Amino acid sequence: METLNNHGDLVLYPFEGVTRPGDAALSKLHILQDSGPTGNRHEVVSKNALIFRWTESGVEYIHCDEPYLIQHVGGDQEHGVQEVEAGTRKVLHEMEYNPWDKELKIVID
Amino acid sequence: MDYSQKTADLIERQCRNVEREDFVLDKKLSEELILKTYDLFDLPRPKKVVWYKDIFEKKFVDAIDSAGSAWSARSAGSAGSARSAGSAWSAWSAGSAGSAGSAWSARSARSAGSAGSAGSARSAWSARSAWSARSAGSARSAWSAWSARSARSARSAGSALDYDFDWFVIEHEYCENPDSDFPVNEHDKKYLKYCELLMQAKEAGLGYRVEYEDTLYLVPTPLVKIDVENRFHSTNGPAIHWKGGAEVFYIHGVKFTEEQFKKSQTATITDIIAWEDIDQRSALLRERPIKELLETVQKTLVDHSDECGGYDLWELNLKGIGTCKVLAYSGWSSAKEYIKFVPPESTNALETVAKLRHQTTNELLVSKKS
Repeated sequence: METLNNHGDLVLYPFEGVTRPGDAALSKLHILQDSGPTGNRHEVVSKNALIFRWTESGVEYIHCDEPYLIQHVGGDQEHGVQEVEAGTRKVLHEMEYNPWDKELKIVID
Repeated sequence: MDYSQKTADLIERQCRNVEREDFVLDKKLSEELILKTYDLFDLPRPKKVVWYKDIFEKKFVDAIDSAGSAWSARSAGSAGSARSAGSAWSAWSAGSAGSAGSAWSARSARSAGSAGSAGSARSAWSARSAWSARSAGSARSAWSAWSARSARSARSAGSALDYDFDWFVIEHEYCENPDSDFPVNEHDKKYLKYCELLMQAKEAGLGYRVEYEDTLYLVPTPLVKIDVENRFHSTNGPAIHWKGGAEVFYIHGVKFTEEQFKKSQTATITDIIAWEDIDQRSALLRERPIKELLETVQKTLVDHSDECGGYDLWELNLKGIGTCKVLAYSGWSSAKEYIKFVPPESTNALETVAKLRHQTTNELLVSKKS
């Protein structure tokens, strides 16, 4: 099994059952989550290879043919830098419960 | 002693400017000191001097953008050249160690690491002030780093007077204790004089400068409050503010809007657990730790796991909500505390963590975590 990355409140979950569309965004750096007020963000970055990013049926995916990095920028950069293996990942967000609305919501970091 | 007493004194002096308390800005003196940096390099002084109240004033930002680079202040450019090209120190570091940074650490007795375990001035440098090993390594003061991070302009970092002060320390120490093959020369002396003028201007209350089209634009230094880990921090008001100008709110290094900050001052336990941004929530928990917060409410420990840093699953009885469940835990790669509401059906701490992260318990255990 490919390695799953838990990077703070962001999860990169190995997933191969999806076809990359032709119009996927292509860049060596993608900001996957930007908190807004705190200025903290999670970004994936590759020195050499391009990283594909697209959304299908409301789920976000990224793909890279080579290993790349996920890093946390801002704050104390407490989540550090992790290597992400080559392949496709679902981009998932940690959830928490809202006891007033009685439903789950995405953790905002 | 790892380095000279004079250098230790210089560091102490710089430390006094990190957490800037109230001061009276001496505009005339500040202007004269900064203009003397032009005289030092035989440069004509800018014809006009204009003051702004903070670095966010549009005209100051425009001046930085127009200038193309904060280093377009001619005296700063000349000082940079003197330091990097002509000084004995740069020649020594290039010849013996390859870079300024490694030159500093190559002489282990002078390294920032050993500073931490030594006397008060050096400890202050590494532990208390923004001139820590980390900031020295990245050639940034805490303030410059903040400016660089701010959305306003990465360039504003370069306009900060203290941008170059870590070099000031290194060059100062070299001049106190030079290598016999590379005696101190006029460039070293000029660079030290330049830094001393900037330091005095900073002490007189000047914080930033940029030059554009023969006009010198100046901004006072802000009042800054930090915590023991050198992060911008104040729970009583803005951690950074310019008199009559911008205010920026931070709690333990985490930025808050003014509205959020005001809300935080009267936050109840329920408000904190439900705080929208988890980093801000964690910052608030440093002021009111989870253990202390939970002492104020009726609670039952449902489950505990030592895995992945440890998790406590609590059932609480909170005013306005009634019975609910929360998960309390520490960060995977920091000592920060976190707390969040979890579904009421949760009974197993680790399973709950995994489920809220869209994975199985086993996947969580073997995953990369930070």
